[in-house]
Order: sequence, then structure tokens, then C-alpha cells
Amino acid sequence: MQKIKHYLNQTVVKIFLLLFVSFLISWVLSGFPFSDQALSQILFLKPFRTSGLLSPYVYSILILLGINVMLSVSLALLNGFCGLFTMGHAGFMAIGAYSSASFIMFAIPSSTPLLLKLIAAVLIGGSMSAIVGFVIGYSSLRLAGDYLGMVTLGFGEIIRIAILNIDAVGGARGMIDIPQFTNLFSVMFVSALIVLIVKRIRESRFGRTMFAIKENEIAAQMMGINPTKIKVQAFVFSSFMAGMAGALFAHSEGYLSTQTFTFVKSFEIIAMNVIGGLGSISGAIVGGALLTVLPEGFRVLQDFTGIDLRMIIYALTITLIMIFLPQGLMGSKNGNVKEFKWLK
Amino acid sequence: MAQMTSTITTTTSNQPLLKLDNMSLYFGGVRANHQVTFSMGEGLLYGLIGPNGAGKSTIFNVITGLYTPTSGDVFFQGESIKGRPSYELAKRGIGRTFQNIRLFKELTVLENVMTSFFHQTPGGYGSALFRTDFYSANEKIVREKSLELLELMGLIDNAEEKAQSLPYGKQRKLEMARALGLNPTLLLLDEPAAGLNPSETKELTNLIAKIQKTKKISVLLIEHDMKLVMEICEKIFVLDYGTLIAEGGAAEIQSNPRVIEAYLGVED
Amino acid sequence: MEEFIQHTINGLSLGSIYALVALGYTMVFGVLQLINFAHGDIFMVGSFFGLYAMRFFAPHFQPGPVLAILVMGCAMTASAVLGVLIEHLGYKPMRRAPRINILITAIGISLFLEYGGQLVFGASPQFFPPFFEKTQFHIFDSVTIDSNQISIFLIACLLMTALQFLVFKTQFGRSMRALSHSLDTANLIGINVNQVIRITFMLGSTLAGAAGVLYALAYPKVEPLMGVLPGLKAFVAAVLGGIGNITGAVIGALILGLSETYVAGYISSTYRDALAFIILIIVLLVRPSGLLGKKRIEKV
Repeated sequence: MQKIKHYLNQTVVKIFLLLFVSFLISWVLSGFPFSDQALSQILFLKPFRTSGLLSPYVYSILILLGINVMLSVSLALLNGFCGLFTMGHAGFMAIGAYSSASFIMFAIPSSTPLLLKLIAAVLIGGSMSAIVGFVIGYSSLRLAGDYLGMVTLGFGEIIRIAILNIDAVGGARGMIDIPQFTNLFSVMFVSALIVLIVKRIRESRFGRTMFAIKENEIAAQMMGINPTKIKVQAFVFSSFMAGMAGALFAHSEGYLSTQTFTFVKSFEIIAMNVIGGLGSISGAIVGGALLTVLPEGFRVLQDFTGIDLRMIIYALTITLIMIFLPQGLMGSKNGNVKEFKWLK
Repeated sequence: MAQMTSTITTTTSNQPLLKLDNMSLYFGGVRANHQVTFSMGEGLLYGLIGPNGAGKSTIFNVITGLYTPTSGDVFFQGESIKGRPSYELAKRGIGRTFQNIRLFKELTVLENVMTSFFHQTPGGYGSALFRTDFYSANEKIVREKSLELLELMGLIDNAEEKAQSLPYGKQRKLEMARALGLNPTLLLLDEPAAGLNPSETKELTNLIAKIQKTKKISVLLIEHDMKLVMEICEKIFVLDYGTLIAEGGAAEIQSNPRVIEAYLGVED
Repeated sequence: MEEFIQHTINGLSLGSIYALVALGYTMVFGVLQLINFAHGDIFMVGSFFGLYAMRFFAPHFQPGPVLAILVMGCAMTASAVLGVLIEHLGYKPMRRAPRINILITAIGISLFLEYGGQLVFGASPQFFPPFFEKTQFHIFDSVTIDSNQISIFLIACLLMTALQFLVFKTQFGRSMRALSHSLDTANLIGINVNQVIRITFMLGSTLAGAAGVLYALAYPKVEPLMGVLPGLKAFVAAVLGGIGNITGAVIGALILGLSETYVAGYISSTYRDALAFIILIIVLLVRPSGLLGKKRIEKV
């Protein structure tokens, strides 16, 4: 009893700390508002499209950045820690997005308080995705290396095609009029939470075990480690977090189309990991941020030249980074990975 | 020490620690092991020798569950372990090292040893995520135990280095330290002295004997360094072409004509 | 029954196009263990070059075999050049890099070709005229086979026979097969590894270019993203047959082409695209080495 109380205390303190930090950042980013109304807008999760420092454009980019960081860090758990090469992460995101959007639109009254809706969305999206993650992980983990990549690619595409054939969620037309209540504050909070979770896993005996499996699965077995069990657990965690990201994505865009969740999206998430440096949480964050900002940055160029060069330069950048900086931005030549101080 | 062996040819306890019963292993048509039968008692040091390709390592792989024997059976502490997964056998107390070193290269030396405590540590993801006192206390115990093992193996100064940066001889020792973390009752060492110079070999020989005595575990070691084997092994098994051709004490083995034949070849 | 025969004819013609693309995947995987995701886009570039060649030659030649050879030749040459360029600029610098990096490079190149294609060729679909006056032959009352299908089938068979000869009967083929066993050993016994890899890419791309034109004959709409789905499906076909295995790729492609047309014909066309991925998953879970691939045993 004493112990449970202690856990609770610790947990509550940590959640408040996260909330406070996210709030502070939101407050700074929205231009230091002081009026009661402005402050409550941040705190009570009303979508705020403030003027001032943040144009709506920058605001939406920041939200996208947060979501991409979540996806990238969640994939790092599989790809970077366990060495599981999966190409179906967009599928998990899709499940999170569609399940949470359907739940919010069809299952609960629209008068539900925003905060509750937000929590429900994130939890439903995460759990549905985790269930699918468990099934996929469990059935495909006999495979290793490229074969695992291929089979997860297949699963990702099947998820997408299955959603495409469900009329209730819009099918090929896409799902429209999804309540938009994701704001910068919630995105920052959840992404900070995900980074914290992955960091804690990395530092714990579970993280050590995952790295052991990645480095040498046979030796890991000789240490009494059941690789399949650990890998399935990693799959569940990772898909849960990708599902949360998907849910936030659904309620920030207000519109979902299966075209968003093709294997190209999965590749993009892998690219975030690899460009940042595989196995490094900092790398996943940097990669996620970079691949969000990069295509947007090229928009300026598009205004200048009048043709859409964005995706071409984007593709070239990825290729060139891979050729000339194969260890990624946060990795060094000898295979070590660097981490930000605050992650250590 | 060699004289002692004659009294221990039949195991002292009523049940052998490890018993191979008519174990055969085939890969397609290739014969790796054929009807190997031997048993090991508790708390003794055994040697497994034989020319290259005699099937020594495959026996290790069978005992640790990496290969399932084609026919015959393997008993550990009186129970059949045929077809059991490797990790389960490791949990039951079979530790091993590898001929071609298999360390977790990117982890530190200390972390390498700590992995072997994984299944001995209580607490799930929850305690790790919230970093509870319970979790921290356990983590501390594991760290201390691992450091003790590093101390024993003389690796304490390298604890924070990456495993891949260790010199070869120390990597072999680290593999042993890691296997000892399992708290094994049976330790399998696959060519522990391979690639070591004579003085390192000498040091390692003493270390193995010391560990085996102090921890009271059974050791089975594969080794090409005959001096090492003859010096510390209480009983020696000789394999040739996948079958057991001799077993006994050092003196017995050295004078066994079949062993001499296997090693030197027979002249027509 | 007649419906079944009709579907079979359509399926075989689709399958033989997949086969040409799948061969490229499987050959490159054989020598480099690399899934060349840009392969589908080489296929796309092939059909565009076919289209331009068609526009260039059509005023001067009557529709017929000469025009067909000219168009196919142009498309195949252009694709071969592109394939070699991609290998030289993208993959060669990464020979010793981790697999995942090479894969991302492949994806980068693929995206580059797709969006570059939109810039150069325009994003909207363009019509691809046939080589021959399209004539339909009636086999039974309701079973038809048209000249396009016949030419697709004949050209595909011809190319595959040529490839078979090249791989199994020539010195280059021996080198290539040696490479697929071990790159390092091949290097040690004096095989010019880089040259073999280059020629492998050239061959694979040539076939993809040909497939691009044939695909455009069957589905006369050419656009920069057209290579994505056929590329993925051909890849599935290669996996189905056992990736790295040339005969397997052809068999896998034919099975995939047939089952796709059957599913579209008898069940529903919306599940057509899902089928390839379902096959992929089943094959990988049940028999990862594919129909004809060899099982790999890990040495401990």
C-alpha cells in the first residue's frame, strides 16, 4: 500500500512537471499572452490559432513536427533498439488516426469536455494500434532482417487497403469533419511523454536487453532472454505510441485520407530515424524535426522558381545524407551514438 | 588431480548433472554427431577434445538448445531438455561462451554482464517507466553483482568501455563473466584460450580452476591447448568424426591408442 | 468456362509484364541483397521514353514490327542507361554501408525519379498509342485475344529466354551467379565485381524498360507515379518465387498476374491490390524462402 502510494506520488509529480514544461513552451511560443482568457485557452485545450509570434502556418508546422517526432521516436524503439527493420509504421499511425476519429465522432456525445475527448482520443488510438501491433509482431517475428521489413510492409499496406474498403470511415473519399481539438500544447505534452517513455526503457534492463538482442540474438538467448517476448513487447509499445501520434494527427487535420498512410509514409519515418542516427533518441528527434522542416523550407524556393521542386530536393537530400553521412547526424564514425545532455 | 579421476568415473550423486544419451545430430546427410553418450557429475571440471570438425561445438549447441538432436536425448538434472528453447536452458543454469566471440559490442562491459541478470530481476515495465524505489534497488543489486564478477575476471577497470574496444583476451574473459552472471550450475567454455599467448593462457587456466572451485559449478571446456586441458580437467572426453572415442583421466587419455590415432593419423 | 479462359489469357499477359519487372528485382537482390525500390520507377521512365520514341517515329513509320522494335529499343536503352547511372551514383558509394542505409538511398532515388518525372514529363496521364492496329481474334465465341496481348506475351517470352541464356550459358552469367553466393569470394577469385553489378543493373533495367512499354500497351495511360504499384507487385512476385531465384521470379509473376485477374473477375476489383500484399504476408510467414528459394541455415 505504502509502495503504491509512493508510485502515485512520483507519477503525479512527473506528469505535472511535463504539463508545466509543455505549458511554458506553449506560452512562450504563443507570444507571452497575459490576459486570463489567453492563458485559459492554452490550458483548457481550446484550439488556438493565435496571432503574434506564431502565424497559423508556423503553428501547423510545429504540430506536424511534434507528431513526426512521436512517430520517429516510437519507431526508434523497434528499429534502433531491437534492430527490427519494419516498414509498416504508417499502418499503426493509420489505425490510431481512424479508430480515434471514429470513436470521437460516433461513440461519444459531442458535448463531452475537450480535455476528456483528447485523453480518450489518444488512449483509444494508442490501444487499438497496440492490439494490431501485438498481432503483427507476434505473427511476423519468426522472420528477421529484410524479410521482416517486407512482411511489415505488406501488413501496413493491407491495413490501408482495408480502411479504404470501410465505407463508414469514408472509404476512398476520405474521412471528413473530424473534430479538430489537437493543439500545440497537447502535441508537445504527448511527444515529451513519448520521449520520456522511450528514454526510460532505454536506460532500464529492458533497453539493455533490446540492444543485446539487436547485437547478437543467439548470445542474448544464452543470457536467458526470450527474444520473441521482448520483441513483441517492443512492438506493442511502439505501435501504441504510433497510434497516439495518429490520433493527434487525425484531430489536428480534421480530414483523413488513406493516401496519407501509404508505405511512403513508413519510409519517411524510417528515414527520420536513419538520418538522425539509428539507436539514438536524440537522432530520432532531430531526424523527425528535420524531415518536417526540410520540405517546408523548400516552399520558399518554390515561390522563387515557380515550380514545385520541394519533393525533388527532399528526395535528393535524403539520398545525399545517406551517401555522405551514413551514420546519421547524431552518430559518429565508430558506431557510437550521441545523445542530447537532457536525454542522458 | 589426475589420480582423483578414477574414483569419479561413475558420478558420485545418484543423478548426473548432464547426460547425453545416444545423441545423434545430422544436417541433411552430413553427420555432425553420432550416438554420443556421456554424463557429467556436479562440481567437476571436464574437458572435451578432438580434432577440428569432430563435432565438439555442435555438442555445445545441442546442450544449449540451439540444435535439436536428430535422435537420442539430452538430460539436464535428470530432466529431458531435448527441444527446449535456449533461453529456458540458460535460465535453468546452463551458461556458455562462444568460440567466435559473441559479445554485445555496442553495450559497455558492465552492461554486457548486467544483461545476464535480466531474468533474475523482478519488476516489469511499469516500475522501469516510473523508476520506482523497487526498481532502483534491484538495478543497484544487479550493478553490484556485475561489478563483483568484473572484479573476479580482472575487468573492473574496463567497466565503462564499450565491449568492442576491449583487447581480444579481455573479450574472452568478458564472455565468461557474462556467463557467470547467470549463476550457472553448468558452464560450457568453447575454446577459452584460443588466440591467447602462453602467459595469458596460464592466467586463464588458473582463473577457470579457481572459479570452478569457489562457485562449485561444473565446467565443460573445449580446448585445443592440451597442456591446459591435461592440467585442470578431472575427466576428458575425446571426440572424433562425431563419435565419442574415449573418456577418462588425463593419463588414461594420453596413452589411449585410439586417441593417438585420431590426432596423429594412422600409418598403413 | 469461357470466362475462365478469358481471365487466364488476361492474367498471363499481365503476369508476363510483372515477370519482366520481377526479374530485375530478383537479379539485383541476388548479387547485392538489395531491394532496389527505384526499380518500379525505372519501369515508369521506360514507358515515358517509349512514348516519346513513339511520337518521334510514328509519323515516319507504319504501325508494325519495325515501329515496335524502334520504340522498344529506345525505351530499353534509356532504362539501361538510367539503371547504370543509379547504380553508379547511388549504390556504388554505399557498397559497405549498412543495409538499411542503402535501402533508404533506394527510396530517396525512387522519390527523386517520381517527383522529377512530374517535373519533366508533367503530372497528368498521357495516352500511349499501340504499335499495331489493334485487332481482336476470337478463339471461342466470347473469348478474345487481342494483338497487344499477343505481342506482350511474345516479347516477354523472347526477353526471358535471352536472359536465361545469358545467366546460365555465358561467362558473365557464371560470374553473376558466383557473386550471388559471396561478393568477397567472387572478388578474390578475380571477378570484376563492380562490372558484374553494373551489367546486372543494366539487364534488370532493360527488362523494366521493356515492361514499361508493354504495360503502357495494355493500360495506355502513362504518368510519373504509374511505376509504384506494378513495382511493388513485381517485388511481391519475386518474393513469392523466392527472391534471388530467376525462374522463381517468372513463376511468381505468372501466379500473381493470374490470381489478380481471377480475384478481379470473380470477387471484386477493390481487393485486387490487397491480394498482392496478402500473398506477400502468407508467403513470408509460411515459407519465407519462397517457392523455389533455398532455406538458409544460420551457422552458430
